[in-house]
Amino acid sequence: MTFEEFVAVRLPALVRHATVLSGDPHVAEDVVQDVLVKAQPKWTRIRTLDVPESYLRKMIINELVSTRRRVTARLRRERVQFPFHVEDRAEQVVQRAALVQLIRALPPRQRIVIALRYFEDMADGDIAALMGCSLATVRSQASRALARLRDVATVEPSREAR
Amino acid sequence: MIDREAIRDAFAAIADEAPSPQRIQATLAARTRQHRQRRIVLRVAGIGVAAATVGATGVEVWRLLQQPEAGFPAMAGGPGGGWLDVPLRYRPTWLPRGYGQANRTVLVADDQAAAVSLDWRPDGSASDGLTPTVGLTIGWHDALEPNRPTGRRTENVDVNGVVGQLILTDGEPSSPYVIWQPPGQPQLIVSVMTRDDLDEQRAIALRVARSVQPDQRHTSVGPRFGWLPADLAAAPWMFVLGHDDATWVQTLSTRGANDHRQLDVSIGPDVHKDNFIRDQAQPIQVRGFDGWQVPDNGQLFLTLSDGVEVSLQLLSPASEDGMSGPNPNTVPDLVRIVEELDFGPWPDMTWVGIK
Repeated sequence: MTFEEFVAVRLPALVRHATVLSGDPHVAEDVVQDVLVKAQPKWTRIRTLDVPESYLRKMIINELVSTRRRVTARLRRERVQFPFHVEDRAEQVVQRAALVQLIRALPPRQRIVIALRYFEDMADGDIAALMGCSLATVRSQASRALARLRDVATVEPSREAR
Repeated sequence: MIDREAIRDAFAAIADEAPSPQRIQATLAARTRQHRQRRIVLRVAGIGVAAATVGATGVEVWRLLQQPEAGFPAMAGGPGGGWLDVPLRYRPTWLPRGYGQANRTVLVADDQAAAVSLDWRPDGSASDGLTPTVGLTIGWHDALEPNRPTGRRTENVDVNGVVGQLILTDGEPSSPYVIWQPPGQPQLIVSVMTRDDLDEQRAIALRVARSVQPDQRHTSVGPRFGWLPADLAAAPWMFVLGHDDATWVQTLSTRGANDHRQLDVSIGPDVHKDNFIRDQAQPIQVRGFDGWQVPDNGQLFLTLSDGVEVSLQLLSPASEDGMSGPNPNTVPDLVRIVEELDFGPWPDMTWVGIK
């Protein structure tokens, strides 16, 4: 499969994957583009791997947790307010919106861990291998992330009280 | 209550915000095209291609044949000809087996052909910038200096009694090229990028260089600019005639001084497909032809009455990695450029695939 053929078929999935991991569609677009630009000259080698897409997904994660990317993402978060559907009082929707906000605010590694665990149904061992860290690190990151997400319980009543 | 399903739903909501991949595709296509333009004249330095680990050696004795190689498509071109007749002057009389001519590039400066570059590839597939290629560049111009390949590993070689240099480019993977200048003749450069190991590529480069002989054939430049913005009008421009699978493509490109913005004009039966983002396009009519503009990307697309497609894009100044991005809000310039563009006759393509 040529690079162009791969991009034509798999780019939507990569962009969606990066959006989930980053919590930010603009960052996702930048990251996927940067990763593909880096991958293109190496494609002759990458395409010989068993699953070239896994290699690119690992590149996306590396890019998301890179120092440069963290700084620019933080600056972006400070500038941009994501929509929060306060008008919709349906309990489930409000909770989801609050949860989305909390997920976006998580540190990148924590967000990536719970995205891979809960959205992509990956086992912790596989997450550790993908992120290049230990199983214990994955579990501690997940634990911290879940502790933060439980804060949504404190958000929800305040909205219901309005 | 936060449970697995709630978290999954939240991520699904985030995933639904994923941007359209078309902008990325367009940017990648523009970068690939720009890379191709840079490499097309001098296909050597820092190409970033991992040499394949399989495949037979490319070195096979080859006798000059005028029949296209079997792997190349027959394609319907036009009558050929144009406002500028360009003598090819030289050709290799030996190439690796199966290689046929795929691209002809002319650097036009002051209405003259300052340099000509010819590419041979092993089959008729479209080049993705990584396709094995043997190139011969005839002549030189200062405008090409930014593309001059460099390498610290240099040795003197004999090219039919003329001292030349064989240079291995820096970086991985390295590629060889041979540069020499017969007395009273233009400078010649042979560049090689194949899937063979470096020693084999070096041998191919030398063998091709030593086989170069005078050639009486000519090519033509059909289209020409009528008007260009001032920063682009002063610069030489590049005309590339080639093919994308079974359809012809001719490209005119020019870059302002100091690697400032770059204009690419592509003409051919199927040139819209890689770059056209329909959901961002707005209809436009130019010269009586229906088309589309994408202001955010600095793009203009037209379809002529015979179905031939034209696309124009202005790319912004190069970033730190040497590549450019879209140059927004330039459609008015693009409209004027295409209004005053002389398309010329559609090109003769009977040379594709021959030696």
